[in-house]
Amino acid sequence: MAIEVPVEQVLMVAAGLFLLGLLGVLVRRNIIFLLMSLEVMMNAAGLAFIAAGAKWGAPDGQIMFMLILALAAAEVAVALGLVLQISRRFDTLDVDAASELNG
Amino acid sequence: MLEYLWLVPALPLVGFFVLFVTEGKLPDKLVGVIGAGSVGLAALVALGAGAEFVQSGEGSYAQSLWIWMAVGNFTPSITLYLDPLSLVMTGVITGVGFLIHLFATGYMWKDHEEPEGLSRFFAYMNLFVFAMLMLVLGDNLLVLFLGWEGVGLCSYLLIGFYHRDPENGYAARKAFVVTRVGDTLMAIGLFLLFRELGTLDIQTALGDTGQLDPGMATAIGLLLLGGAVGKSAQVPLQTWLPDAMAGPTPVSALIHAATMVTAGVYLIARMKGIYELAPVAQFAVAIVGLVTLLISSFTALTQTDIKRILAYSTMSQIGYMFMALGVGAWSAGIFHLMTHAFFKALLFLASGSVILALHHEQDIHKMGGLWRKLPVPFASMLIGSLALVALPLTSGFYSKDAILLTAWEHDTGRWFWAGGVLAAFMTALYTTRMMVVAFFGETKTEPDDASRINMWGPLVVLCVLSIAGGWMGIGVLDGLLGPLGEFSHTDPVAVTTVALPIFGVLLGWLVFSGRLDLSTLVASSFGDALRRFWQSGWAFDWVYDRLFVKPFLWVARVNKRDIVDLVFRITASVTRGFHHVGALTQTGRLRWYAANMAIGLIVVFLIVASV
Amino acid sequence: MILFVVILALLGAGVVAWASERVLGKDAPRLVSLLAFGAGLVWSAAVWLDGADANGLYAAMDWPWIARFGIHLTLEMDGLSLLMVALTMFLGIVAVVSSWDEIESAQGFFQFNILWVMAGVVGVFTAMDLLLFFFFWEVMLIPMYLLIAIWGHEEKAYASMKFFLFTQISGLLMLFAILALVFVHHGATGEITFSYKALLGAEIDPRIATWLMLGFFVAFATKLPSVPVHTWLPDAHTQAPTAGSVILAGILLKTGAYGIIRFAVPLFPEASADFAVWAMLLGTVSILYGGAMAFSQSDFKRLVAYSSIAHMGFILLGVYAFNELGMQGAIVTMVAHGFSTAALFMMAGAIQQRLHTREMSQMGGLWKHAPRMGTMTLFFVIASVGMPGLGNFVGEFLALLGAFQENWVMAAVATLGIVVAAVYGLYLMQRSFQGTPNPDVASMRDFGLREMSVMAAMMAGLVWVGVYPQHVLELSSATIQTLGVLP
Repeated sequence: MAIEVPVEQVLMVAAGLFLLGLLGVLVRRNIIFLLMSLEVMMNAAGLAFIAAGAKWGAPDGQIMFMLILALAAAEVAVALGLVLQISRRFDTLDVDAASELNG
Repeated sequence: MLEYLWLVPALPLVGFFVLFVTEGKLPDKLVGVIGAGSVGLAALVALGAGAEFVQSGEGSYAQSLWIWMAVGNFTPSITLYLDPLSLVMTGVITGVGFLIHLFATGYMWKDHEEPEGLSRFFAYMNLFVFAMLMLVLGDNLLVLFLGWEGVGLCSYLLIGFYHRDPENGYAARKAFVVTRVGDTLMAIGLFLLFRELGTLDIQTALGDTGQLDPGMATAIGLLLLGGAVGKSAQVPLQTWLPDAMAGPTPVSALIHAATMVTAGVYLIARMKGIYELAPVAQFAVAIVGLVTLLISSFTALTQTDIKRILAYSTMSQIGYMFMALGVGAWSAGIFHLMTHAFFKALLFLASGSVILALHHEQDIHKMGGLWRKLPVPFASMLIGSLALVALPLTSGFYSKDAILLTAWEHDTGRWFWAGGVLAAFMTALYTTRMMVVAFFGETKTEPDDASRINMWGPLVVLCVLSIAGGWMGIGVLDGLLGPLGEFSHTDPVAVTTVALPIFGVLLGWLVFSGRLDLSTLVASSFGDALRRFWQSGWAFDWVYDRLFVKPFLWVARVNKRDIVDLVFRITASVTRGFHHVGALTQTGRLRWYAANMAIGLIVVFLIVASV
Repeated sequence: MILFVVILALLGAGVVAWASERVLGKDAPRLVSLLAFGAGLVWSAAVWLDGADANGLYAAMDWPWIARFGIHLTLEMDGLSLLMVALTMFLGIVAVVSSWDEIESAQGFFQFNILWVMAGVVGVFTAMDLLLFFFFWEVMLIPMYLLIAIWGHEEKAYASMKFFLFTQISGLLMLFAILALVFVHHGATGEITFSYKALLGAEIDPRIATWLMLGFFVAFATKLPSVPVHTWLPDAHTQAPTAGSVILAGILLKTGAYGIIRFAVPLFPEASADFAVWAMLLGTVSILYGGAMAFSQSDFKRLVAYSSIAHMGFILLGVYAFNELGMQGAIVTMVAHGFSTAALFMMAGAIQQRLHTREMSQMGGLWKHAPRMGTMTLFFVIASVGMPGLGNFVGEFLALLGAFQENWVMAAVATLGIVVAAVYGLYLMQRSFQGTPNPDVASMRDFGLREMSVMAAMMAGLVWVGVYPQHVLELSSATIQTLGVLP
């Protein structure tokens, strides 16, 4: 009953998602959107893993996705803390304002 | 007494040590007693030891104290060596030295800048006497070198004694550095001697000269001559002596007339064995003497500072001694060294009395008419001058006569004789000028004579020695040092030798007392140029200044920041440049980093794909 | 065993000094250091009087450390080492006294650093295992860096970094050379060892030997220092606190000289003999260039620093003459220079503390205010000018005499150095203490009993070495024989 989705198509969707995320990271200045774009990129990678796992019938892909989920959760926890600090210190959510680490 | 020979240098050293350690806290009277007393005691011990030595009839006496340093076969020992030559030198140093110290207790009484100045002065003077005694008594060239450098140091310290005037400091440093140039040559001479003979023991080395290659002997002779030239202020290293007159007058008398400046003569006489192997070097000694003799006697004629006149006169008299050694008149040279020590010390001390009485006026043109007001200094100056001019029966006559007549008999000696006689004539001329201008005519500065017995006492003793020292020479010295030579005083050469100085005195009297007017000659442009040339000491200072001093100062100024460091500074700046370029990419913008990462990734993919 | 204890005791005293500041107050640390160095000096004197054993050693120990690589804690003290260790202890006292009331902040940590530098130095002078030697070589570096970087003057950051980089980079070359030497030896014999004695006779391909020798030589020549790698020294000296300068000039430079005598030459005798002309040339250039540069300076401390470079030139000249005269001259110079320059740096520090300047244009005529300081400066200037009867003369004369036997041209040119020494030495004296009293200096505190007693000790040392150097010569002579480099 299962519908066979060719792995190429899934990978194409993953690549598209990844590019979308990357574009978001590069063009958005609001730090919240930046984080969201990052999540999109990570999920794109997760999608690719699952597709590859399904293709080879191996559980590795799903394990990797769970790892990515854990990573994303941890990242969000840290990142939101940073966002809070940034918004408090710079009074804005513009990521370009926080460029004090220049050379 | 001979076994107490070590006390002779040790006593002044103890004097120095006591004065040094007490830091000038002793009362001035005690300082004088220690300062002069230590040298006086040394003179007594030297007298006793000398008498015993002469009585014993031995040729030499050596007293070994300890091995200075022992490295392999290099074992110079601190040994005191007494022979007629060092006995004469020791006698002069302690005897004349004591008289000058005694004089200085009066001269320096109030004449110092700091409260502890008197103590410092006598400390330096005692150290000098110690060093000078080590120089003449040392049986090893290294010990001699110890004394040699030690006297140079004390000379530096005492020339710059009034150190608040930067001029004096300059004169002192000039004296030290210029003589050090000579010392360097001498040190190289010692290295060479050690390489050739494997020892620096004077007696051992002179006994081994048979193994010495004549070329090496010449090289060693010339190098040692270099040292002697520096210390004895001979051409071409003579320029420091006139400036050295910045020191207190007793210092000029002791160091720059009687003892230290004759160290070069002593060195050459001591190393006689080397020079006998090296005729070229010995000839060079004579030439140096002759050239200095002439240059300085002409210069003395144009000086106005009484001490500078005496300084140039000292140079020329030492020139006589060098010439004597060069033409083989060894004992006559040492004899002249001794008589010169008497009369030149006398002249300096007497001029010191005059200078003190005139409150440090040294220009002879500002003196005048002093003979009536300062009788003791005047009489002393007169007697000293007579001996300097070498009029018959004075001590200078015997020694100078012996030198000139020996020169005449030497193969190439006639030129030396002629030069010596010409210089004797000039000596008479400038001495007469000094006496006439300073002591006769009208009074220009009122003197204020405060001299006491400790000042005029030594003058009287030195007067006696300046006259009678020569008679003693005939009897005693030629027994000790070897025959001075037999001269008949009737042939034309001898008569000329005696007559020219007398003629010089007469001419000088006529000219400088105004009885013979030469002012048009002197005022002519040529005369004036010549006078200035002579007055500058034949422009040696001018040449050295441009040849050595200015370039050195220029390099010092330009290279203050050390050009070698430039290499490292450039390395550092290049590194820092890279750092700045790298830092430009570090904008701090998160999105810029992300974009770069993405582009980098794409580039890597493209590269991988294209392979 | 006892050597290990001595080094540990110095390290421990450092910790105690640091801690004592909190417990007992800020005067305690300097007393702890003084006590430590005093005890060290007494100990070295006792060891000396006790005499050497049959092998010419005064103390020795050999424990395995990292045994599988043949690394041992080998410490041995022969005549030369004893001489240097005693000098270290003595200069430790001088350093503590010279900075007695100069340091205002963190006195405990200051004394800690001094004690640790000296512990490293003692290790360097006694280590007979190449890796252990390198270890101590680095141990002395860091505290010295801190001394300059924390308690230094205006440009301390620049100076301390320069000092660190020069020493570290040249030390790296030495580490390469040590490892390469061990591997070469391993290849030839199948045995891995860092032991000095085992490597002493290693058969090495002459071409490789030259490179390895250069690795050692560069490290030691930088520390010495010799032209052209000398430029860290004037900066480091000028910026260091007085105790730092005293240690740096008095003893740290000597580790370079010691390294050349103990390691660079004996480990590679043939390569060193081929290199001798160049080393002597470097020595000669150092003598003249250092002297000329000293004259150029207007900063009292910087002048003395450059004069050190000139003096160290005599060491290169003497060692590479490859005869006993030269070698002994170098060693006596090490001792004498330790006294004379340490005293001059102490003087520079004392003047800076009083006048808050090192510029000689702001001095002049100081004799009027401080005759004792003037006399002391005069004495040590004269010593460093090379006056016979004082230690430096014996060293320099022997070095030149030895060099003359080997290469008379070089020695003759180097002898000119004594004229240059007179020029800058007397100029220093003139501009600081003589001349017209500077009207800007109203008064100046003269030396008191504390400073004078240290000065008197150094004077006595110089006179002792100058008049009867036999004690020094005998100690070093035994070592020179065992090095096996002399014909």
